[in-house]
Amino acid sequence: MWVYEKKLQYPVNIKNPNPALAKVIITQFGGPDGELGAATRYLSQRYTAPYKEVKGILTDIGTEELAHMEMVSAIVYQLTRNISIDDIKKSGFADYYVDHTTGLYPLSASGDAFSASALQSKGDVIADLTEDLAAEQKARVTYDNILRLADDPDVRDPIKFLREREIVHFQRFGEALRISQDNLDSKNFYAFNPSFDKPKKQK
Amino acid sequence: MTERNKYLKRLQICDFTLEEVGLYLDTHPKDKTALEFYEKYLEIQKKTKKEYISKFGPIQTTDYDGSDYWKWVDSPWPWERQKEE
Repeated sequence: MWVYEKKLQYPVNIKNPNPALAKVIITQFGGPDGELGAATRYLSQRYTAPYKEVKGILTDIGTEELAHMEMVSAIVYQLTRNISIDDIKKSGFADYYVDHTTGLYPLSASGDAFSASALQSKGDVIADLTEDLAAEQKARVTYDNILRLADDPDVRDPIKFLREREIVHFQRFGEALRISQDNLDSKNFYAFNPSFDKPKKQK
Repeated sequence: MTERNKYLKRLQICDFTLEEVGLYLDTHPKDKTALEFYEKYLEIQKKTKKEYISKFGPIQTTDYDGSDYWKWVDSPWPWERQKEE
């Protein structure tokens, strides 16, 4: 089960609203490589993970992604506070505004609503962890792109923190994959076990 | 029922009680009876949780006991069916 902590993982304090930038950053809430997708991916995959280290890392990273979703949402919220109708018209925020006002709605920068189609839970530890490694890199690239688009240091600071976390998660998933491969049947080994239905018991 | 399940059930009862009364207090923050009830169960919950952790391992990563081994991933995961012994 989960317990809420009334604090962000890393502070978000943005002085100047910027709805155009909010529309870009919201993609890390509900976009294809966003934090909602990340949390859903890992917290769904963990049930069939065969090894305790993998169950642990999927649970703990999946939980951290929920905290990142909160940070991204806080950034978007603060970027769209106290904006006038004039700001909305001039910044290209009108199409979001008409459907959601300034409510937080999970969608991508190109306006597609959150979709689980951008993630997979395959019930196979090699397939799942390989997907997770790619997911962390895709999210890291998205944060790099946001950093190219954002000048405001108040925005860049928490985005840089989130980018760093993608790199750490990639490392930990790499270790989880190595641990899984160490448990594969060495008589039937080719990076994965071609004929396994049930993963070998933990060494 | 195993020893572990017995203690777990006790903790689940305490935690659910706090959840339920906590929700009520969100919308009734001045209700003295509810506040006293919450306080009483919070005491029981703290004691029960401490006992559970010392016997069966961590409930959160931060329940680390200072030993030379990280027990977090070792104890059974809650979605696995627990064997009756």
